Amino acid sequence: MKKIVIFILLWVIFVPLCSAQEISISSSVDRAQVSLDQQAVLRITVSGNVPNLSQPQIPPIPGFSIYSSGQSQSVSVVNGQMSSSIVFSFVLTPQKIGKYIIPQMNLQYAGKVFSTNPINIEVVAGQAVPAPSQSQSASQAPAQSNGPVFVVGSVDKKTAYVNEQITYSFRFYRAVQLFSNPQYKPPDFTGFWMEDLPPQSTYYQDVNGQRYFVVELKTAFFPTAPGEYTIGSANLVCSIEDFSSNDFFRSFFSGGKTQTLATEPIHIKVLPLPQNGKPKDFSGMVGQYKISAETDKTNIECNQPITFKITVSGKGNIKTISQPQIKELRNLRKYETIASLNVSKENYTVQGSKTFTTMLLPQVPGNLEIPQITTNYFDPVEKVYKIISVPPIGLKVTPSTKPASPIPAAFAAKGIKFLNKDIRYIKTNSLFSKKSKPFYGQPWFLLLQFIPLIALLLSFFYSRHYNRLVNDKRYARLHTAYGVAAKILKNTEKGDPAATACAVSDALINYIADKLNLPAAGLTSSIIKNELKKTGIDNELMDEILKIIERCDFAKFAPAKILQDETNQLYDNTAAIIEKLESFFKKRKK
Amino acid sequence: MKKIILLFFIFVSISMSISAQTPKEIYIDANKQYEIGNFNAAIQLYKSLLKQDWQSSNLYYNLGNAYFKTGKNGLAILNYEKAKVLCPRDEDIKFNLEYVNALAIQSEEKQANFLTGFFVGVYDILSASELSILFTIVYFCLVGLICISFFRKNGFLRTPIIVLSVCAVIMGSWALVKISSVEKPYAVVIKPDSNIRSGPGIEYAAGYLLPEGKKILVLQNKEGWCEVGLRSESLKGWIEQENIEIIK
Repeated sequence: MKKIVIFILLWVIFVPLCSAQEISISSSVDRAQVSLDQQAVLRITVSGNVPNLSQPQIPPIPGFSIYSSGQSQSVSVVNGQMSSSIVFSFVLTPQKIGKYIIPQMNLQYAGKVFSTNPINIEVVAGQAVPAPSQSQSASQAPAQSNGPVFVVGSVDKKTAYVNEQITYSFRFYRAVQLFSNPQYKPPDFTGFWMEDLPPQSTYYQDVNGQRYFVVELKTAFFPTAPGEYTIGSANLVCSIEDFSSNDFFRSFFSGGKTQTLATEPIHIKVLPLPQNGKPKDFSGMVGQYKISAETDKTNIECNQPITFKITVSGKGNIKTISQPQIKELRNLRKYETIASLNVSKENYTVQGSKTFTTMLLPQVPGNLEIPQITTNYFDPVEKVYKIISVPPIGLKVTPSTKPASPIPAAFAAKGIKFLNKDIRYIKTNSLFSKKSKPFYGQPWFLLLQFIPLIALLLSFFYSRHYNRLVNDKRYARLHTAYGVAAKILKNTEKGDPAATACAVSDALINYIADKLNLPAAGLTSSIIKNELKKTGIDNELMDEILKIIERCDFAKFAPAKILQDETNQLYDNTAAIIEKLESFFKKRKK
Repeated sequence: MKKIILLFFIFVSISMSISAQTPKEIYIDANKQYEIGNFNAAIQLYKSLLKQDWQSSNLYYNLGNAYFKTGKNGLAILNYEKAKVLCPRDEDIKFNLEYVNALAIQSEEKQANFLTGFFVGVYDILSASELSILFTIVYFCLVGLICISFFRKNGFLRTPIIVLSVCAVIMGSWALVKISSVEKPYAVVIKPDSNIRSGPGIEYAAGYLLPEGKKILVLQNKEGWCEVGLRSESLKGWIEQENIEIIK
């Protein structure tokens, strides 16, 4: 605003003086070669008495996009001669690689047309040879540079251990106004784990007696492996006031000047972690850490889940904190662990906590214990390995009153989703038996096993007898004689003396015939007497037999002479005789 | 008068149902308690049935379920084992026993190969009692046939006799193996983490811990201590008698 006011004042004073002067026009570009990521500035200078000059019309330039970056006017009075000039600035942004010609430009002034000469310009890929003087103003130490703008990149340490935080600071010093927002291109952090450290800080600093406004950007990075590394240049593109001329007026009226600033590369040495005192189960964590653990409850029912949280917090690369191992969980079933991250960047140090949340399921009632949990880290400040741990946590588990909580299915069959695994339901069929010794222990069961053996023996011997009865006629008669005789006697009707006598003699003769294996028909007393004698029967019994046969014959042929009582006696006698004979034959057999 | 008689009958029927509950009623009652989640009451009722000398595989199974629900895995396994002795082919008993075993002992389920799995399956089809009855029947039939064959010499019974004698031998040996395994004094650890010591007494050093629900073989008893053996791990030691309960 101030400048405009001054400009108007000067203009009001000097315009009448210069009105008669001729004007001349020229154009120039700040560089003949430009890369795709750079910009070229086209300046059109009109010198002479030009109080009322409109902006020249710029024809479209192939391969570039153009925008105006303002105009500046300078007036100088030398030895009473006054000259003035107006500079129109245009920024050319290349779009394609190739050689181009900026065509001549025409300016109409007071009925006359003034033209500029065409300019050649070349667009190349990648980084062009930086324009001299300006882009090399950056250097590492602010003391070496007295330019109006410069950038400095620095690290807080040049040697670090693996996974130790290194802070990279990028500082932009400026003593002049900026015309546009600077564009920052961070260096290449290949081989490092990078973490931005907002916010950017701003402050004033005096360098070589000049006051600079400083913008500082910080980045934390963690080396991932030991070795030598180089952090490349960081670039900043900005547009500033033009201080190329010491001319007072030009400094007032100059337009923006685009500058690309770069930092110098930085070499970093990454040390491996010392082997000395390295724990066997080293977690890989570097920094300063604390560990804590907690459960959401310590009194719990059996088979109800507990949330168990282990938190590792501190300074260091939080993202690389590994899960502390829980060893020897007894009677507690452990499920998958979920890790959650909480990173803060206070004081430009990466810090925070990582929380490992696990579900535990007590499986038996009683006093259970989550054992001590231990992890370790390397402290790069003290250069030692440190072990941190949480004391064991006791749990009181009461028997469950609720059904067991769902257990995530460890397996999934085709098409079946296991939601809950539980025992099968009770059975309602109420069929009881009295508790007793099983069958095989009962005495009666064991005795039962002997019955078939006995039956086997009996049937064996009986079958021998039976088969003889079937096959051996004599044997059969011998064995059936008594039965047949007894049957005849039994069937005798005692009413009729003659019939009784008949039956009695039949029974007796048949019996004797069977026993002696003789045909019953035609068996006379004499034959019986002879045959029986052979068997060695005693005479008394023989006499009795013969007597009965005689009496029977008598009764058969003279039934009237026999009394009923006598036949009855005869019957009884016969029965007795047969008994006697039976026992005699049995004895004889032996 | 009618009312008095009616009242009398009602009174009698009520008092009967209260004082002399049949085992079936107690059982139904216990199942109801289980259903509403009152597992401890269910356990008491099931146990009262056992005290009256009633038994059935279902009773042991339900008791095992109730024990499992109260977190007593050892007692649950014990009762499942008892149920399995009575009814070895019951899938539910097998399932729950395996499930609780896996949970309590945290042992990986042994992946039996097909052949042994098949044989175990066949072996488990019949209980010892059923096998002994079956054997007796086959044995009786065989002897009967032999007896008949004594009287009929023409030999048409020879094939059935051979078949039956093979059956009888198989049944007999199967029954003997089963009975001997059932009658072995297997026990289940019913208290969590029981110490196994090198001798019968606390003064002996504890060698190792047995998880609740572990099935072990009792070798001998001595003054409140039992010598037990784990065949699969080939370990031996002494445990307090109160920590285990015999299945049989």
